[in-house]
Order: sequence, then structure tokens, then C-alpha cells
Amino acid sequence: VNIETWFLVIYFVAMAGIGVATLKMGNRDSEGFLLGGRSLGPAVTALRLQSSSMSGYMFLGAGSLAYTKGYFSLWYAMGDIGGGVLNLSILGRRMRKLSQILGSLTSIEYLEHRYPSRWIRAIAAPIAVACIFFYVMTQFIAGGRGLEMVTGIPYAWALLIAVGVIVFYTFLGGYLAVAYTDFVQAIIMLIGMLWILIGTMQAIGGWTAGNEAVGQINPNLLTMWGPDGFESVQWGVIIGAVLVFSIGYLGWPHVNVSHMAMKRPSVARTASMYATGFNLLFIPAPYIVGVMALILLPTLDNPELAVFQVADTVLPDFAVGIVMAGIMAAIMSTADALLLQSGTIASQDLFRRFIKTGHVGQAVGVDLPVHRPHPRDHRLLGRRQRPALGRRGRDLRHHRPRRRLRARLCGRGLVEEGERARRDRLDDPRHRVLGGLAAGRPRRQHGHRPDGRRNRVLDTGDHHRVPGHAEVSPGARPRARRASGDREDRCHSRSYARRTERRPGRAAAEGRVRRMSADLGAEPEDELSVVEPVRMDPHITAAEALAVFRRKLPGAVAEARQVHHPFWWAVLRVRTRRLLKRSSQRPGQSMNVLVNAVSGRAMIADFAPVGTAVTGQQWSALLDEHGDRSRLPSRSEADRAARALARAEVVRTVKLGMGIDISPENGHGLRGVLKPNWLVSGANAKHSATILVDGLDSSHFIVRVERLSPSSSHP
Amino acid sequence: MFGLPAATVAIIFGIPAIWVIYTLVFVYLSRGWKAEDVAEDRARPPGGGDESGGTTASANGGTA
Repeated sequence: VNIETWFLVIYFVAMAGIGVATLKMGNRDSEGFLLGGRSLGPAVTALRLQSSSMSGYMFLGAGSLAYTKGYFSLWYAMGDIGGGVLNLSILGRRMRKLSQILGSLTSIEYLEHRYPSRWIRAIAAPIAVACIFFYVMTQFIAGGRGLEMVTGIPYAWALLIAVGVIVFYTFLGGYLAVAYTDFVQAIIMLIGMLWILIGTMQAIGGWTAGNEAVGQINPNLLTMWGPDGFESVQWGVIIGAVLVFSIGYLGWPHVNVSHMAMKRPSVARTASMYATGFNLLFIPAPYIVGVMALILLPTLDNPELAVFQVADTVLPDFAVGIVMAGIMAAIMSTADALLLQSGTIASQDLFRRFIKTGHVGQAVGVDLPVHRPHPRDHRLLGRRQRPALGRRGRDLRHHRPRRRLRARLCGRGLVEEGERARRDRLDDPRHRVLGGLAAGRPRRQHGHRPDGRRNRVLDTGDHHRVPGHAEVSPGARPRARRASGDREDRCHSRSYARRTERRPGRAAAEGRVRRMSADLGAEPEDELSVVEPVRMDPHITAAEALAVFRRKLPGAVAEARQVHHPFWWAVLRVRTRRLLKRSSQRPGQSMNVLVNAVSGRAMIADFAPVGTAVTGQQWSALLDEHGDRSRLPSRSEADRAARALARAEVVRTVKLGMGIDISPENGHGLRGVLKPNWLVSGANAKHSATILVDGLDSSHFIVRVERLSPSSSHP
Repeated sequence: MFGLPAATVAIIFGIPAIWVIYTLVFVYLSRGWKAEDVAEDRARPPGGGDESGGTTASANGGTA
């Protein structure tokens, strides 16, 4: 056994050891396995990003290109040097923030959530799996060939060992193992490559002497225009060479997953410095070594072995072992990232999303998260989730959709999953710590109006938009609302306005109430009390609420009771700062945020609450119905929730270097709003139920359903 | 310089220099990110509130 083999054995054992060391963290939960628990710092993030994007090409292809094309090959390095910082500066922070807000665990899942359409994932995931499959196969083959070359063992065994080690630590520790091994591999690659470069320079008597010797072979090899000179320069190839490794990084899912795994969004800043520093040192080296191989190895049969043969020529035996480990590191760092991504995309983005919707991860001992339905899926989900009873009184939650293909694309069992996801979020301490933002994948709730039309409320996890009100002011709409679901909200607002026009009595009724004024007086000192809260009148009549009930329970005898629920109301002014500005000069946009005074959940309202001013005692009485007041969110907590929601909403559109200022409108704090609902209870011959109908938009929630025994009678 | 044509020297040192400048400008412009991270962490409500129910479910007056 030669010394190179020993180095490789130590290297393989170290990689496997990292896999074992990250076993606990990697298997803690799905986020731990797929994103390393979003715990990675700047150095690991940057070097992992770089090493996974640089495959065995850097040791084999780059040297070969330089050996045949001379300095022309450095065009590839010119783009590659900036690829890391470009990726981190454009995508890094934004992808880290939004992926957590949207609850995305894979790059393609992030795309689907960011630009809501299930077709994004339906199209991107198969393409990515297919491409990555071939990519990872080539890396495996390269690993086998590299090991065979170094150790001399048969190719089949070399391939088995190389693939076995990669698979072992990848599936043991998940992303964390991949990240830490990539980090170590990046350092090995850097040491190995710099060692070869220094040895080469010593062997040829310095860079200048080497260039002069190359110039004697062909002066054009020293130019950036190729071995045939400027007259035959291929500008398209040059532009492509620069772009492929600079902006090309931005589209690689196995690279971009680094952003989502950062400890904090600001990690991207420091990581960019590490990335550029690493690239400056590492990337030009194999190209220069490849050019100098023309002098050291003028009769090389296989140019792809230029770097390896140069290392074998200029370095002592023990150093060659490190270089060999570097070559294996370059191959393995890409292969493991690709392997993890291909497995993740196949399981998460395809199988789990479109075929099976259970706990897929349990098959490999990982507790992958329950799939949270996509906003568009709620078209299906909404139909199956809320109306638990069909025409014949059977449970529609297990109803099979008519179109099998659609069911596959939208994911079966969304109802069960949606309910399970909600329970999981309730049980998951992370979501409590993060105030629900982490769980805040946008979802849209649909309701059936009594007139048969559908009605939508966009719910972004811990907040909701309450659509449609006669007071909707387009000018008051924050820009952030142009994100997903905005069109539906607008449509709904228009449809509601039309509905309002058909009711001549409503305008008069609204004229009788007075709008909440900005000068209500001093805020009370009590954290839970308010002065003159606004009690909103329902836009849905009792008859409409009963109609909703009877659509679910045909022939039911029911009664509707109006109830109110307390909400904190914050009117926030949101301003964004441009580059190089420390404060915003723009007027900004107003945002009405309602915070549930019981649950603490915030939602963005597309209207300013209007109603009758009532006494603070009514507000307090409603709070008292919920028992211990100490468990209710205080005024300051509600204020923080409202600001957090406003920030989360605006951050979707944040551009590079842009800042966000959020302040209370006109300097006023929170106010109280009593939001109306209808509580409808009743029964028909077979079922008894209680449904809560939203007093503003007629969306409804089934509180209770019971199947009556044949002997039971109507209440 | 280094036995290379001037154009080659200009390109292989000039473009990396542009990337270095880009990195420095990015680091300068993003100097407030860490503070914003801290501010956002503080802005998150403690406990995060209850996730139960939707708009109507949360507005049910405790009956659901």
C-alpha cells in the first residue's frame, strides 16, 4: 500500500466520521436533515457553496482546457471567480428569509412558494431530477476512475468504495454531513491545488519563465483569444464561458440550497467575502498549471490528466497523496450535494408532493414534515376540507376527486395533511418561537357564498387577508400585496363591491355608523383594555348565514346567533429605503393589520374597519370569555406581531440593499375592533352541526358535526 | 509583465479586480443586515400565538 492510498483511506474515514458526527443533528427533524437545521455559518456556507459547484472538472477539465487552449481557458475562471458573490448577493439573503417564511425546504419548493403555481414544481422537479441524475452519475464514475488511478484497484471496486463512502455519510447526516464534508473538502482542494501550483512554479523557474517558454511553443497560447489568434476568436464562446460559471450558479439547486441553510440571512454578507477569497486563490490555479504542463509534459497523451501528471512530476510522494485526496474531494463534494438534492427532489418535490402525501421520510428514518398544501391547491383543498358533509350526509373529506390527474398533481390526502400540518405546527416549538412565521406558508381559504360563488381569503400562515369591503382604498394597498393572490383579492373586492351595490340598504346602514377616528383620546394604561373599540356590523345577513348552513346540511332546521370576536387593529405606515439611503424620503404606504386578541395571530386587512364605537367594557367582556387574561397577547405583543407581519409581507419585494421602516400611522397605537360572525346551529334528520360563518365574507368553519342516531329527533 | 501580452494581463487581473470591488461594495451596502436580523428577531412576538383555525375559526369567540 503506497502513501497516496493511506492518505485516501484517512480521507474517506474522516468523511465517514463527519457523517456519523452529524447523525444526531441531521435526524432531529426534516429541517435538520434537509437544511442542517438552518444552522450554518458564513465559512461553511461559502466553502460548501464553492466546493459543491466545482466538480472534478477543476482538476481534470480545467487542466485539459488550459493544456490545449492556453490562457484562453481562463475566461472560464473569470466568470467563476465572481459566481459565489453574485449568487450570495442576489439570492442569499432573500432566499434564506423567504424560504423560512414560506416554509420551503428545497430549492424547487421555494420556487413554487415564491411564485405560486404547482406547475413550477411539476415541471422543474422532473427536469432537475433527470439532469442531476446524469450529473451525479458522471461524478460517481469520475470518483471511481480517480480512485482506480491513485490506488490501482479494479475500477468496479474503486467505484463501489467511492460511491459507498458518499452514500454513507450523505444519508447518515443529511445536509449537515454534506455541508461539513464539503467544507473540509474545499480546504483539501485548496491546499492540494496551491501545492501543485507552487511546485509547478518552482519546477519551471517562475511564472515569467514559464510563460516565455510557452510563448516559444505558440505565442497565441499566451493571449486570451485562443491558439489560433485574434482573427479566429469566438466571442460567443467567451461570453458563454464567463456567464456559465457566474450567473450559472444561480440556477443550480444543489448549490442554492446553501442559502436556505444559513444560520441567519446576514450570513450571506460574510460568506461573500469567504467565497471571493477562496475563488481568487483556487480557481485560476488549475488553468495556470494546465498551461505550464505544456512545458513539463509536452507529450502528454491525455490532457485531462495534466494536473495529476504535473503533481506526480513536481511533488514528493506524500504530497501527491494530498493532491489525490483533493481530486477526490472535488468530485465527492459535488457528488454528495447532487445525491442529496436528487433524493430530496425525488422524494419531496415529486413523490410526496404529487404522488403520496404521507410521512415519506420515515422510510429512511427521517421525519420529513407533513406537506403543507400549496395556495393553489386550496381550490381542491377548500372543496374538501370545510364542507365535511355531502348531499347524502357522507364525509366528503375522503371523497375521491373526479379527475385522477388533477388529484395527482394537487396531491391526494391534502385534507388530512392540512389538518395534520396544523396540528404539527401547534405542537412544534419552533413555530412558537418564531411566532408562526416559519410555518407561514401562504394558503388560501375558499368559502362558498350563499349565492354559490366562491370566495377567497389569502392566508399567509400566521396572518390572513380579509377581503372585500366597501371601504377598500386602492391607494392604501401596500406594494407587497402585488405578491401571490393579489389578483384574486382584487377580484373579490370588486365582486364584493358589486354585491354591495345591489343592496340599497347597506350604504344607508353604513352611513349611520361612524368611521373610527384618529383622535380617540389617550390609550389606556392597561395592556389589555382599549378605549371605544369599533364594533363592526356583519356584511352577511342571518338569512345568508342560514343558507350557508343549509347548503351543508340540506333540510336542516337552524338558528343563527351573531357573535363578535376581539381584534387589535394597527394602522402602520410602511416605507422602504433605497440603496445608500439611511432614511426613507417616500410617503410609504398604509397597511391595516388586525391581530387576534385571543390567539395573537395577525392578518392584513384590505379595508379600514368601520363600525359603531362601543364601550371598552364590551371588549373586556369578550376577553373575559376566554378565561385567564394572562394568557392573552398583550398590547405590546400584538403590536410586535403586527409589525412582524407587515415586515414579512414587505420583505417579499425587498431589493438588494433596501431597508424597511415601519411606524404607526399618525403616531397612534393599537385600537380595538370587534369583528362579527354568525354562529349557526341546527340539525336535519341525520346530522347535527354548528358552523361559524364569517360575518364579513361568509367563509365558514365547521365547529361541530354529529351523526344522529335514528331515534334522535330534531332539536 | 510576467511574460504575457498586455491584454492578457489586463483581463486576468482586471476582471478579478472587478469581482473584488463588487464584493467590497456588496459588503458595504449590506452593513446593516446584521442589525436588521436582530431587529426582526426582536419584532417577532414571543410565543407566536395560537395557530389554530383560520380567520373564522379564530374569530369564533371561543366557541370553536
